[in-house]
Order: sequence, then structure tokens, then C-alpha cells
Amino acid sequence: MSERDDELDRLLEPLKNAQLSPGQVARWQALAKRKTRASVISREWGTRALQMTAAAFIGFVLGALVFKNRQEFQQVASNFDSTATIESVYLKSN
Amino acid sequence: MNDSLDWDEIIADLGPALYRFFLVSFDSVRADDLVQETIIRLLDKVRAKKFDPNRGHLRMYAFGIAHFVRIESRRISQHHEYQDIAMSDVPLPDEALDRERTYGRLRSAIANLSEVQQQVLSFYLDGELSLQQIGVILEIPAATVRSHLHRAKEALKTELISVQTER
Repeated sequence: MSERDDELDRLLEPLKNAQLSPGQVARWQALAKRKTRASVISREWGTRALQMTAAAFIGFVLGALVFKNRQEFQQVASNFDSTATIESVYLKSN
Repeated sequence: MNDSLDWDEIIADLGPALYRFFLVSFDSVRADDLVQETIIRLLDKVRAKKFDPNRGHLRMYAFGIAHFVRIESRRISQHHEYQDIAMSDVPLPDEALDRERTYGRLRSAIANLSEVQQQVLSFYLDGELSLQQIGVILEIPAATVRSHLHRAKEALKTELISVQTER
């Protein structure tokens, strides 16, 4: 059984045949493109911010592991000699 | 964003249908605004992964959004009384003016229908959705959609005949 009612369709004809103005669909498509592009940019920024936060966190964790306490840090610093190579400073510290 | 979707194609197909959907209750300028609003909301929801293709077509999902946009806009219109462009001072070409007047007459007749009859007509107009699908969006059985359509038709006939006899 058809779901359409011919009489009702005739009554609604002026609205059914409504013409779009030139460029109307193109404007909607451009709007969608702008929104899509904006979302891609915000997603890229979001990824970058996440990467930087993760890098900073890893930096803190590594720093904490290397210099577990102030004393060890001070020991390394006291052994430091401006003319010494990094290898000799590490040899002295260990 | 779901990159597999071709938005140009979707909007070329969906845009005119949404436009006619809004044209049942609003003038052409407002209908255009509401199509844009629906597209923006649709894009946001697809991006937020709120649309699940396994649960239904994008088309039906878009009409579901349009239904809410229409309800919100009607609520705002009640407070601000949007002026019909055919009655406004904006100069329009003769052809566009005639068209707006024809829509205006039909819209005035539709405006006298009950809210649910207007909603059913908006979905029915383009023939994009089955009565079953209209029923799902409006949360009423398909048989009720059919009876609302029948009553809307009878009321529209009476309204339009009375407008013609007045002229």
C-alpha cells in the first residue's frame, strides 16, 4: 500500500517544489568544510598539548630517578670540576 | 571526525530536504538559518561519535536533530515573533515575492494545525522518511502518523478553500 496521499501531495505542492537560491547548497557545503577544518586543527593542537604534557611528566620522573635525593645531587655537584670531562665527574661520584 | 563520510555529497543530498522540512513552518530566510544550525549540530555529533551507523541511517539521525532544532526555534519564535519575509520591507524580485506569498498562504494554513500535525507534515513533505520512520522520531505509532496526516489534510483543505473564497 502506498504511503503517499495524492490529494495531500497536491496541497503541499508549492512547498515541495520550493526552489533553492543559487549557491545555497554550496554555502552549506562550505560551512561543513569550515567546521571540519576547524575540528582537524583543534585535534592537532590537542595532540600537541598532550605530547608536551607527557614529555614534561617523563622529564620529571627521569629527573626524580637520577637525583633521588638532595645529597646525591650535592655529591655530584661537589665532585664537579669545570676542567674535568663528564666521564671523570661520573668516575669520581661512583 | 569520521573521515570516511563525504560531506559534500551528504549535504547536497540532505540540505534541500532539510530546507523543505523547515519551510513548512518558517520563511525561506529562517529555513536557511535552521538548515545551517542542523548541519553544525550534525557535524558536532558525528565528530563526538554520538552517531552510530549500526543504529540507523545518517539521514534519519539528521532529521531527528532537525526535529529538535525546529522545536527550539518555534519556542524562540513565540517570544520574538519572527517576521515573515513576504510581509517585511526587504525588497524582493517579483518572482521571489510571488513564491514567498504562495508559501506564506500555505504556511498560514499549516500554522492553524495542531503542533503534532505540523510536525508530521514537515516530515511527510519530502517523502524522505516512511511513516514508520516518522513515528520513530516522534515516538508515536505509524498508524497514528497516518491519522494525523489525514486530519491535517482535511483541515488544510478547509483552510485553503476559505482563504480562496475570501480573496
